[in-house]
Amino acid sequence: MDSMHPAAGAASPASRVPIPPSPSPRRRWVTRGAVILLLAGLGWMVVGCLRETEAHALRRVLLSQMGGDWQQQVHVRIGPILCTCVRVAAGFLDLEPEVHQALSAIRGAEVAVYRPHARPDLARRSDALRHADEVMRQQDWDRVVAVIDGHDLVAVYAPSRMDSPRDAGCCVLVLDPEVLVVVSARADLQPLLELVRTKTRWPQRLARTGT
Amino acid sequence: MKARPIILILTASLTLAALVAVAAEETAPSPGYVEFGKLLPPASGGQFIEVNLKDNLISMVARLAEKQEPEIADLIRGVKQVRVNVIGVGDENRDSIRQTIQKVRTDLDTRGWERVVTVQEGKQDIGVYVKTRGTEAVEGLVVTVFEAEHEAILVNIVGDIRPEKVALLGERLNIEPLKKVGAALNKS
Repeated sequence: MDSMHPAAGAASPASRVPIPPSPSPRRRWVTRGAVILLLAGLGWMVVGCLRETEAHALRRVLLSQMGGDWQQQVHVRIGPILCTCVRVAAGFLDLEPEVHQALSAIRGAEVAVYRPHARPDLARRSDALRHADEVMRQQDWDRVVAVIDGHDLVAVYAPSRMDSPRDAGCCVLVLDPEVLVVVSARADLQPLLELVRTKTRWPQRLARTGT
Repeated sequence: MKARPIILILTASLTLAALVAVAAEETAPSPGYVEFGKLLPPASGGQFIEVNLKDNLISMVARLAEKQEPEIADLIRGVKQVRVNVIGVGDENRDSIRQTIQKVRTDLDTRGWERVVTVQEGKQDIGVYVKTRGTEAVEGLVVTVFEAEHEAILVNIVGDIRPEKVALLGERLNIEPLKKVGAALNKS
């Protein structure tokens, strides 16, 4: 008998390793679909992180227009995923109902604080605001309010399109000789409005003043 | 068939013309809109306030207020835009602001706006103008206030507002100027 050709029925060690059955075509397509979705989700998250936010655009234009050196003191950005985690974690804590209500409303926030090394030239504020308006318009945001009073400038921007009060955004800028603050937030306005209504009782006050 | 390219070209041309017409209508300002011109903050750092609420924000506020305050929501829904300008008046800008307000008032008179309230008390000069669509609705409201030693205020409200609702809102919120405007509108 040729040793190179094992006799029929005799099992060699290699042939004892079971060969896994090949996956069915349906399972292959499900696996491919899951991988594609996962890659798309990761790509979306990367693009979201790399895309310039409206708050970043506003900071960039203001710092360049005001000139001088500014030192970043604070920069915090909380996205929707982290907000959800905070909401879930807060559910295990014994907090005031108003705190839970406020946390349930917030969808994301970004805060940045800068201090100048030298007092900025406040005469440049008007031009800086005009350039900020143009940059925010490119991001599809409109200026809603601007207040200049003495050394202080406050401006509020809102998205040009807000389809639902459940996902409302705003961006607030505060500039004075000592600090530049840019805050951007997205929230569901319904619970916030309910909170304001409960705390201030303004419908009852309106009814009283109307009589 | 030879007629098919012609039909395709005609259809494309008509579609394009319709789209251009719609775009032109959307960019045309509303009848109640008034251009105030370029209002710059005073160079000396005096007060400057500019508010510009467009219909997206206003309709969102109306949706929020609907359940609790349906009357206010109904009134707000008729408003398309609210613009407010408050400018501190000083020596460096008094004349230019006075000229701006005069120009706005002359423009309103020329365009057929109706002056419903006029107050000249001491150094305060107040004018309230409305643009109506017959007796049905108010399409625009302009308020001009000029205090030579203090500030100038310009307000433009654009929308489709029922006069009786203006008076109602003034009563509910206890806002005297609105009550007066509402009463004047109901009389006219």
